[in-house]
Amino acid sequence: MTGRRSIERRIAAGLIAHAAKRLPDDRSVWATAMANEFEHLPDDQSALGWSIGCLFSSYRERIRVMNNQSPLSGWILGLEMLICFVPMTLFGLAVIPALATGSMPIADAMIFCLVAAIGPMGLIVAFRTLVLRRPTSSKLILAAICFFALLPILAFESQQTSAAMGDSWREFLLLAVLPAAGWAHLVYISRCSAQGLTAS
Amino acid sequence: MVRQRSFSRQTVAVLGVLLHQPRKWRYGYDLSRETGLKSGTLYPILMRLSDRSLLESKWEESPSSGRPPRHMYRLTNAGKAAAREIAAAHSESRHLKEPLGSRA
Repeated sequence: MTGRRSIERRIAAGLIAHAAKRLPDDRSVWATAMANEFEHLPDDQSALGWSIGCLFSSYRERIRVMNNQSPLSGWILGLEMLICFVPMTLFGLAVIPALATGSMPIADAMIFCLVAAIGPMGLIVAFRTLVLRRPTSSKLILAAICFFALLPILAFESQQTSAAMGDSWREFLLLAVLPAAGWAHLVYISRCSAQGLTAS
Repeated sequence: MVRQRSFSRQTVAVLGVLLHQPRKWRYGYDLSRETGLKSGTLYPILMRLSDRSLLESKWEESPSSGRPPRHMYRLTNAGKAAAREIAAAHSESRHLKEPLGSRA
């Protein structure tokens, strides 16, 4: 390569060097492979795109290794899922004594259970994803459960006036926002697993 | 038997390209162009395939002075077998999806 490098190429060279450093040590061969391939790219635009892609893949690889290696991360994820889904599960289970004593009409109970369904569903999917290492890859199932994750938020907003919302922000957080956030994180984990190779 | 669902669509594309000329060594950039995948998608796939002993690699010294060696890739025997299984499964499912009237 002769002559001065263009600005694009120099930026790309900086990015690829950073990407190579960010890869875990056991991927050092791949770090060298990416960096060396960069030197053979025909034009500056390809080089910049190549280096940006390598940067993404090196961070992704680093995060993957961290998640696999850290014994704490599984526990923290588990705790997160419990915090997100157990309150809603308990909220749904409160229907049972209400039905038994006749203090809640069946139609109301069914709506109540529908809204609270995200609690036990989230716990089941979290167990499959984190403990059994079998993340859900079906887009249909993920979309359906996204719908259930949004139901509490919609139900809460339809029941509350704007004035009352300020007083019940704790319930909103615990019973609507947390399940939705927990579900979003599970979808992210499932998609990450699905986009790479999954273990047979 | 290799489960097709264990491979992503992008991985299947890489396997397909490598299977097309299984003895030929390929550079990363060539694979990127042939599959249409960016480096950010391609390299994790190559890493996983290599981890699973489906891909072998070697270094080739660059003929141009001043340029570093390049990493080259091709399928191992196990990789070829896996790729053929997936290719067979693909053509079978495509065949099943075709309307009856379009079959020769």
